[in-house]
Amino acid sequence: MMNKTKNVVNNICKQIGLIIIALVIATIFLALSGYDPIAVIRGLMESISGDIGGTIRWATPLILAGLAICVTYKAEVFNLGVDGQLIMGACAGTAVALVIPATLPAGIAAPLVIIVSMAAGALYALIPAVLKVYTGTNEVVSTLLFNFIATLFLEFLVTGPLTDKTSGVALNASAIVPKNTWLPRISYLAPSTANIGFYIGLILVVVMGFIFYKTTLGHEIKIVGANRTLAKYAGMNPNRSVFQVMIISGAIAGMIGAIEVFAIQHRLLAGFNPGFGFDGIVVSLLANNNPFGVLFSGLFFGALINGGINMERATDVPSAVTDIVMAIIIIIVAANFAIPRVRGYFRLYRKADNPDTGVKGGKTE
Amino acid sequence: MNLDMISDILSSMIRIATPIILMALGGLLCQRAGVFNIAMEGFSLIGAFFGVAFVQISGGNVYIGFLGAMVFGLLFSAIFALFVTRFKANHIIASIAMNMLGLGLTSYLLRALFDVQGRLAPDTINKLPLITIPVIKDIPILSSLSGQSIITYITIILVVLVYIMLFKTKTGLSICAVGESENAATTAGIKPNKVRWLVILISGVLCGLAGAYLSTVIVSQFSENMVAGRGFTAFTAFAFGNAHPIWSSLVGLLFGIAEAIGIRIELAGIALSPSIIKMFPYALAIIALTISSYTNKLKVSGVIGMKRKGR
Repeated sequence: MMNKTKNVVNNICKQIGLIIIALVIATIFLALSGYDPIAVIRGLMESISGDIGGTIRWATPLILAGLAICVTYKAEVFNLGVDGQLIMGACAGTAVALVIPATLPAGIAAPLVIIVSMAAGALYALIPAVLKVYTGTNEVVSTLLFNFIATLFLEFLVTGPLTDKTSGVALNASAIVPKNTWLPRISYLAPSTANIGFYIGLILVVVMGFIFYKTTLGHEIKIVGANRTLAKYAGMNPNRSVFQVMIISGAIAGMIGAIEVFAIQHRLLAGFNPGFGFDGIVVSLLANNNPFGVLFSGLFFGALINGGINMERATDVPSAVTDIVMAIIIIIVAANFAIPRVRGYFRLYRKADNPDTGVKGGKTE
Repeated sequence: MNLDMISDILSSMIRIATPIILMALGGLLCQRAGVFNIAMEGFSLIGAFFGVAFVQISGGNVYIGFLGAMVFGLLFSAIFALFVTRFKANHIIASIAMNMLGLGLTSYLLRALFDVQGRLAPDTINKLPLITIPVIKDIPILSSLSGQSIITYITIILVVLVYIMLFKTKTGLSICAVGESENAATTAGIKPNKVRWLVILISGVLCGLAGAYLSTVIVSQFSENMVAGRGFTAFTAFAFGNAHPIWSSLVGLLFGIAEAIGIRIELAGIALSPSIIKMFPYALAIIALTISSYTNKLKVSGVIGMKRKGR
């Protein structure tokens, strides 16, 4: 038990170290391009501490996207199509919301549109899964291509069948969805758009953690990810696991789409998705693909993105800085090069202290 | 459908396919050397940005633009190479990071260097001259080959050069050896990481060229995320073309014609949403990828031919 705690602490230190390295690189970058880095950091801090609601608003889709990525990651499947799936979810949810009677009680209408969105996301994720299992098509490239098709489909819907006919000007948006499908916002964080989706995210974090660590399903997914051949000989069905993770991932993605439409925009907008799917990859990687870690890295990136947006409004520092920070974090995590040194330091430290734990520390991976 | 129209479509096919083929050439070299490179999107975006940036800085000189794009494509791909070889990063994740970095960096530099948002159109730009080939220009249909930008002709030469390099030289043999079996290659005295550096840098230069072509030849401006998935299309081009320079280029032309016909349909005002038409190349790419994966799968399971290891 002691050892487990130490591992967790060790992991957290590692990730914080990575964040610091990325921020240092970004700061150097800012300084090189002529901004005053101290002022930028202070501005970022102020916009983070002054706007908790905004952080929650951005953290919600990021946590969900992180969960959607980490579930596929466990099975060694790369779902880069979360963006496409969440768009398809939003499209399906909006389409249903616009046809159901406005007199339907909110207690039925709101869950209905969420379920429709999740189903649409899951179905859209199922296509690359089927292609992968039956034809061996690399899901990395196929999901990327499906993203473009989904984006164009969204464009088609909001300029064609679903376009808002009531307003005279072309908005590239659907009509406002009926009030009974709106998802409630968190009242004490008003006027921000932080919404009930955050609670859904919190519940899902626990559910995912439970599935991963306490159920046969999660166990099978992990075995399949670690060694497909072994899983096969142990009587598991790796193909079934691929379907399972893609469906779960797509459903979560669809929920992001529903939350963005029904809690925040209240209509389907052509460019409503700023790329949550790819951000989700960073969230999940930084969290070491651990659902509980996803919660914290989602909050961290939510704060970063929200801070960046607020800062761009207040100063002339482009919010693209946050994209750069994310890219640096992901590449450092992928390279793993900051970690061995930290780990080596900890191991040495422990060995000197207690040889037993020192040996077990080697199992950290 | 008359001859003029056909040669018009073919002409725009070649124009559209040129950057895809350039990216695919770099990508297939990486594939041959066992580098899973889907970062071509990011490399090209950097090329597109610096192409326009150098045109703007040099007061309209497009050659400096191309040079700058190639240099920065090279530098940017060097980051990828460093992480893939030295730090043994997962190729897919490193590629995603490079694509994100490309997108973030170009948006950021647009603001930081030029103080504009979304797009940058240079004040003056001397576009590359279009080259007319004397005899060919009078032959119907073949005339589409004439009147293209010089980059297109360079691309055709590059396809041949890559073919020769890959199959007729020792370097090409090393590249394939590293991809087929790293251990065997090492035993034979080849340094796998050196070969990987080489192919990634080549792909960086070619993508820089492709990006600058997109931003200075096809249009005369840089806009955010303007590569719009062509890097991924290029990936499917060489996946379908079995990482063979000539076959991959032909697949690139196939994507070109899909887009060219789409533009034609859009202009003809047929009652089909332009968004739906724009899906054609992507749908075609998915179909092509599926077919090539399926035949590969059959090969691997011994149904047809020998096993060829992709990665």
